[in-house]
Amino acid sequence: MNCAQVRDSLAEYQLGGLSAEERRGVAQHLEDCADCRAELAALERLDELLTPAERVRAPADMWSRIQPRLRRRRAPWWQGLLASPRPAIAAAAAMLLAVAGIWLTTRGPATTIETEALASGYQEQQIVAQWSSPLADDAALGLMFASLNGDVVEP
Amino acid sequence: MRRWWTVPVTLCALAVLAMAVVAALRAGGLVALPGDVPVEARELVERTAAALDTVAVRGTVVTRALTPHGLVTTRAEVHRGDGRVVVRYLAGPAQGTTIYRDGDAVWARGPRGGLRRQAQLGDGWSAELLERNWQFTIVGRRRVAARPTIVFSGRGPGGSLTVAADRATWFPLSLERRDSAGETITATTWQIADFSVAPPPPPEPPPAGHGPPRGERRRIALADLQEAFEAGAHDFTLLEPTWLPPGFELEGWYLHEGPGGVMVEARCTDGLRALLVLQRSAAAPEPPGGGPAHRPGGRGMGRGGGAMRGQAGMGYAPMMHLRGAGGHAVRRVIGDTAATVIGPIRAEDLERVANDLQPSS
Ligand SMILES: [Zn+2]
Repeated sequence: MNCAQVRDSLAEYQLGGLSAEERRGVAQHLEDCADCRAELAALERLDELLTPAERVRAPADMWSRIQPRLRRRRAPWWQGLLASPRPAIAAAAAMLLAVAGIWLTTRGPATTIETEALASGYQEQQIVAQWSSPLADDAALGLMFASLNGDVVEP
Repeated sequence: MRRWWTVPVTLCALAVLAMAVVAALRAGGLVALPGDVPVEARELVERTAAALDTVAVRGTVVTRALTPHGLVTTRAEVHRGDGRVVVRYLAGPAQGTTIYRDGDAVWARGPRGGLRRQAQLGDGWSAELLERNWQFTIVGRRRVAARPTIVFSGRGPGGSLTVAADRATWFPLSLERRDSAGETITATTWQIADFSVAPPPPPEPPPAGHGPPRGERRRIALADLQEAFEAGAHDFTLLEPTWLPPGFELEGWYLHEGPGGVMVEARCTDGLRALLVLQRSAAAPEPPGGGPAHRPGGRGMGRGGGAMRGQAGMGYAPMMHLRGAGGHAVRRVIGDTAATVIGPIRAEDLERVANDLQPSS
């Protein structure tokens, strides 16, 4: 396998998605090729970033550690609730409320705009400016460009 | 005996408590919420942009764009690589049209090969602004065009950008831009992608002086522009933006000269997006496609244009909101200048930019 072939299958390799034969080929190449090893390391680094789910899961004993502290603070009216078999439901509801609260407070007001088509001369400038940016979407900007009014009639 | 309000009060208290616990754990670095993994904007954008420029790929895409006809969805065949792009639209308002891009030159040919439109792209993008203004996070992975991708999302002052980059090549197999209200401006997703192809051959550029004019546009220093205006070279007053949305900075001034007259462009950017302040004489006819003559229904700019011209020299004319390519726009006449502020930002912000335009001195 050459570098290009290996790079092409590196992501699948890392995810464990290749056939045994392909895996051997990639592994063999990696032994000899520092560049491809670096590429694999970069993918693995990204993978660490990609798996926040594991870190999101609260530790299994979180609630049992929090609970005694709450009790010490002595707040009788919810003590019974915590002691009841419903803390998980209550916690879930609380989390929902918390998430809803965050969601509601971080969402800006919706913008409603009465809009109409804009003169193509101005639009073209905007398309050109946007097309000059990094990560320009050629297909979408080309579609806008081609849809502008005022085209010259074809010969 | 518990009272009726015990349960709601309990839930509220627990909500506050849960928030405090999450905040404390997050401060201690113990809990990271999903979609909350900050990454180096420069690394992601540079790698993806480089792949966009160099990687050879051929296939079909589904693309959506905010056009004068509204949000249009269409399919297209794309072949790209080595700085060149060929896009042929299979449906929609541009059906049969082919777009060519070779470096900074772009042009469109109609179904029978006729040159429909051409333009020269420029630069004016700053990596520092990008890093200062855009927060990128890795949000997950998904398969696009049967290939594993890394999905990352950037949030900036002008809205958001979501990219699914091919894990093997970093080529963006899906790109979506939204404005700050969450509305899609452009989106393209590959359905079939063949990375084993060679780049397209260099396309035949349109011969010089052929087809629609390319609209001469040149960068100009503000001082030179002011001097020309003071000398009476143009029949309108040069305006300067005095307020820009957070994160946007004035990148430079451009002068457009063409058969339709003179237009001044103040280009502002947040690193990834453009916000333009376009100015021309309020007495000049509208650019092609926008004036009453081109819109027999009297809709859109035609209607406002006439009213505004009638008020030239009388101060502010009513603001118009417009939607078209690349976001929203507001247009107003200030004295003898017709100013259009256009960009993928909130209408209120566009309005404020327009309201705070001041004669340049
Ligand atoms: Zn290698």
